[in-house]
Amino acid sequence: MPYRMNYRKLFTIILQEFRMTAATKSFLVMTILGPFLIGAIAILPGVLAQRQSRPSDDTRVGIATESTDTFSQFEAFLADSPLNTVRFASEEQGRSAIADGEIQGVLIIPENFADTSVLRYVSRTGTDMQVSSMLQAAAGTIITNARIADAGLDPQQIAELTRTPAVRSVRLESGDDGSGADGFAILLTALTFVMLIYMTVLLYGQMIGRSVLTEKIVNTKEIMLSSVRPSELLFGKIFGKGAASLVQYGVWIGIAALIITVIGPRFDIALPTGLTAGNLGFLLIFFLLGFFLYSTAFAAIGSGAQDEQQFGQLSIPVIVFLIIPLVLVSPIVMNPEGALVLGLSHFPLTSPIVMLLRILVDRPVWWEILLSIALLLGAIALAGAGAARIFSVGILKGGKAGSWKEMISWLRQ
Amino acid sequence: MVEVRNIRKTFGETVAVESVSFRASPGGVFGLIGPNGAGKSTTIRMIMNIFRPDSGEVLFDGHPITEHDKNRIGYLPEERGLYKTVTVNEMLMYLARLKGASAAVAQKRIDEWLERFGLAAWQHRKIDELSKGMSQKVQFIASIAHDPEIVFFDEPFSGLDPVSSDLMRDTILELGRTNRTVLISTHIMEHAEKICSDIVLIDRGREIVSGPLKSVKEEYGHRSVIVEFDGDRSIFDAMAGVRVIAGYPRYVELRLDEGFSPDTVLASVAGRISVQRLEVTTPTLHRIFVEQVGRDAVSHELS
Repeated sequence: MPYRMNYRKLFTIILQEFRMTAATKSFLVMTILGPFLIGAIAILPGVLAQRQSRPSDDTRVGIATESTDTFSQFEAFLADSPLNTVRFASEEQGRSAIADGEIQGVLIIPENFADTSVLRYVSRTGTDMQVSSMLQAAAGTIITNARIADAGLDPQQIAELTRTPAVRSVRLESGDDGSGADGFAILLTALTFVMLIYMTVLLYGQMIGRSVLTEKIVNTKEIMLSSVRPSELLFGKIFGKGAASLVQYGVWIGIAALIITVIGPRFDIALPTGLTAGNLGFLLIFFLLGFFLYSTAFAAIGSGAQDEQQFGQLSIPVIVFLIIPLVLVSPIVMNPEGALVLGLSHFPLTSPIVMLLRILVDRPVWWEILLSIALLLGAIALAGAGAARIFSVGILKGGKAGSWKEMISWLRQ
Repeated sequence: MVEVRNIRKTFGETVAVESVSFRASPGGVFGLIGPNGAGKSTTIRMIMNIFRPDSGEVLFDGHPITEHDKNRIGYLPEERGLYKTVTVNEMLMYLARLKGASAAVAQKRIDEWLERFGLAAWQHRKIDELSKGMSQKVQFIASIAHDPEIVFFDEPFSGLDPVSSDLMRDTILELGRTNRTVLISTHIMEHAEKICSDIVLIDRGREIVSGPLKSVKEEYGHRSVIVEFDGDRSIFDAMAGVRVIAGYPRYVELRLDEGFSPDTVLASVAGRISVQRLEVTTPTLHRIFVEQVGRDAVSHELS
């Protein structure tokens, strides 16, 4: 009878466990810092991408050439870019200007510019790729145009004729012209969500396992069991810490909603397009399902272990199932309909992460999502009953080291 | 009232409790006594409904124990501890609430007990700031804060200083006098002797002796005589009607055979040694235990 409970006592335990989890400094720090981390993950890439594509408007670069004609071609080509060009008659002058901090770098134009295959760009860091690629584009066009003109053709006309379109990945879902809904942004959201589920399920699951272990280590187990049933203690811990995690998720999702509706539009920050109310809802659902499944497993482990070290060792087989989807993120995103992905998105230990990933990149048909949720609920019921049995035997066991084999044998007691 | 009938518990091949029966009534202190590993804790866990016995039964006021009965019991386990990160008051309230006590009643009793044990100043301090002795007292309060009808203290005196030990003893005796059913378990016979009205002595999972302390002493104890003297100790070895239980150069403890009195001893040593002290004692529980368990161990080996 693993589920027979006195609900008043269960509630008392839930309340106490909630207080012992939520009234700690680390909980406060996580809850407050969480949104900043998430905000950083959600907003920073967009901001950085905008910044990175355009070096700052006052970037000064030198062009070392004796020919004023060549220089003016560069100047004309780079007029629309953030780069401001300065001419130097020789490489040495350019180098000393870098040393003086007048310019960021200097492009050395050799005498045989039209035939050269490699140009040198000397700069302070040697790594300012954005600037050097702009200079490369400019030099390439100038040389090509010169060659085309030498051949008696019109460079303008050739440019028109050889124009190629750019390809942008757009999701079927987005329906419109797909402005902004590109794969990169979805991948970014997917990674954020996956990391969030992985971290919180692991964090809270282990917190519950340790809390069970603590009953053994500080010896409160017996006084507790003289007052309540093992199942009341087990589920009180799971629901109490679960409630604390919900508060945390509530705060985070609230902040995310604030970013979506207020901060994003007002400050004109490009948000990853996967960050929608629907996706946040799925994040919460799959977090809760994953949390309940893994926390029962960790609780069982906590009752089988004798100390922290053993708890760590016994946890490894369980943690592996949390890591598998992390390792497979890129194959899943690239091929969301592969057989392996379909399987993992319905296997309860991996489905919280894999199904969420599929929903983000390849919205599966509704019954697949429901099937995955149903299988998870079934697995949680089974794991809960199993954990209650392992817990009621294991919590009072002392002395020798526990093992998975032994814990499974407790299921039959 | 708590009645235990032939309970038995095995763990795999190991028989932890073979057969134990006793009955503890309100108004006294009942002692479950035995050496370490005798099966005391397993017996208590069966009474507390933490383990279910393989056979036999535990009755509370004549009916088998139910989950609800847990609220009527107070329990101080031998292996005890408290959450380290909560305050004394929070811990005590939590445990009292889990026993079904209302918050208001529990708080009143917690205040009273903390005051009485000199811990009022520590009420809102964290558990991990307490000394070991203070934490023992808090655990003791935890077992009685919900005003139970039946209390079970497993090794209540372990780790206590003499002053706290006396306070604990007085409190236990008082609980007995106020018509609660009080059970204690201990491996220290002197403690049992001072506060128990009834006892059961167990060893290796089996009951050795049980009954009111007074009649146990009468039934199993033979009177003995302690003699302090100057002179040759060997005269006691050859003396008729006595047996030397413990002998030192100037001190012997003698067991009198049936039909012999302390006068016999005095008469036969007169003039041969110089007697400093002669005392007639009833046997200690310790002595009864050692004798019963010793004899039992011998018959165990022979069978």
